Amino acid sequence: MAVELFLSLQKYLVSVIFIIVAFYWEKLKKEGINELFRKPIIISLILFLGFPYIVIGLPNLSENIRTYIELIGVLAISGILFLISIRDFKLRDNKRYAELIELKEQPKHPIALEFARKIVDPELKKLDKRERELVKYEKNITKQLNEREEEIVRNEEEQNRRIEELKKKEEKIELDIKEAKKTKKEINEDKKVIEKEKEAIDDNKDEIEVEKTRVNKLRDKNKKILKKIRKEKKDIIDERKKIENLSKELKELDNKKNEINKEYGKLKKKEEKIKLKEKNLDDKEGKLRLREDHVEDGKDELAIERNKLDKMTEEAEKSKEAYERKREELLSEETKLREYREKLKEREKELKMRRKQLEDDIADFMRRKNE
Amino acid sequence: MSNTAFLILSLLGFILLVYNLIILIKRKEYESNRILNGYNVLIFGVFLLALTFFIKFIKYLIIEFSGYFGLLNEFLSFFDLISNVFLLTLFSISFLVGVFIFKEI
Repeated sequence: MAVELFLSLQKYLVSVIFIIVAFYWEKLKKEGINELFRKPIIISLILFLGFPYIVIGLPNLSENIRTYIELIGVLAISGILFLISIRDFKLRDNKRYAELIELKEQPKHPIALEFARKIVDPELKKLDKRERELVKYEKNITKQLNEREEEIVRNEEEQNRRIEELKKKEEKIELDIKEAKKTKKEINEDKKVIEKEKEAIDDNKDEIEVEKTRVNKLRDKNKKILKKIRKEKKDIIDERKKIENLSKELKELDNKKNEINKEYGKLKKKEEKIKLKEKNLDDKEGKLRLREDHVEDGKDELAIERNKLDKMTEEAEKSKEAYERKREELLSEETKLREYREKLKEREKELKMRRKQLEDDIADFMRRKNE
Repeated sequence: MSNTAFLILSLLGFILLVYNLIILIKRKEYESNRILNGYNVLIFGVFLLALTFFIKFIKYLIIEFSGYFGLLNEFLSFFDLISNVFLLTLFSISFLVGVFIFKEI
């Protein structure tokens, strides 16, 4: 509770303290305290750092604006303070340095100690620094030299090792050369054996040539048989084609036969009709003869009907003759077809025979080849 | 946006205050011995202000990069408490003390 109360009052407390400080400082300035300071504005600026906190203490300000005032205010004042104080410091430092330099030629001066501290000591420090750097540099160089020496020693050791390895390799190579010479001798011996075997093979060559001629003859025979088979195959293919053509012709003939049969049926039907008409005419003639005695007036009509009948009979006779002709033609075509079929059957038989012969020849050829 | 500005301003303020401290300490030797006590107290006040700015900078940094310092979010109020309550109060008191010391000369 006390902390919360303190927190709420803290801003106001700080601003009040700074206001008191400001008034007090003004009072001191009026009393003449400025004479004690080398640069009184620096002290004023330091105290002025509290000014933003006085402004923050004002009521009716948002938190954002308060932080902006605090940060920017302190930043600006500290910036000014920095510029003024650094300028003053540099001026005074340079002035003091110039004064001390003048004492260089008066070593017994009461400010000699300060001179030593201000002038000699930094020089000594610089020299010490330089000495340290040189020592470091020396150490580094010695280190590098040592490392290089170690490297050289290592390289020498490696070279010695390599030389030893090379010697070992040389010895190995010499051993290999000896072995190679031995193997050369063995190879020469083997060569001699091979030459002897070659001679033996030359002797056998004549026999091989005889066998070769036999084989060549068999090859020629096989070639001839193959040619024959090819020719027969071609013949079979041609005959197959012919048979196919014949079968086509047979089909065409069958179609024609069917057409002729149909026409024959039609002609038969016409003949039956004509017979029926003849019968009717006969009946009418009988009736007319019966009526001749009774009806003399109808003689002319009878004569006309007779003429018509004559014409009809003539036509019937003509159609009969045509029918007979066509019948004869069909019969002749039937006989031709039968002959064709017989021929085809004979050819089929011949082809089957030839096929059997070819299969036998191929089997013989294969047997010979295997042998 | 304002948080980023606060972050930058607090960092700049802290750096400037540190430089100021260094310069003020260096130029101490050019001041008379009589005012040195009061001067030292004022330097102490500036040091407290620099510390306040540093804590503020840390606070704004945590707020800006809350993703990286998620665990430290709980300590934000603690930072506020330190910077505003203790350090700023101490800073104002040290200035007051410094002025009182100057009066005693």
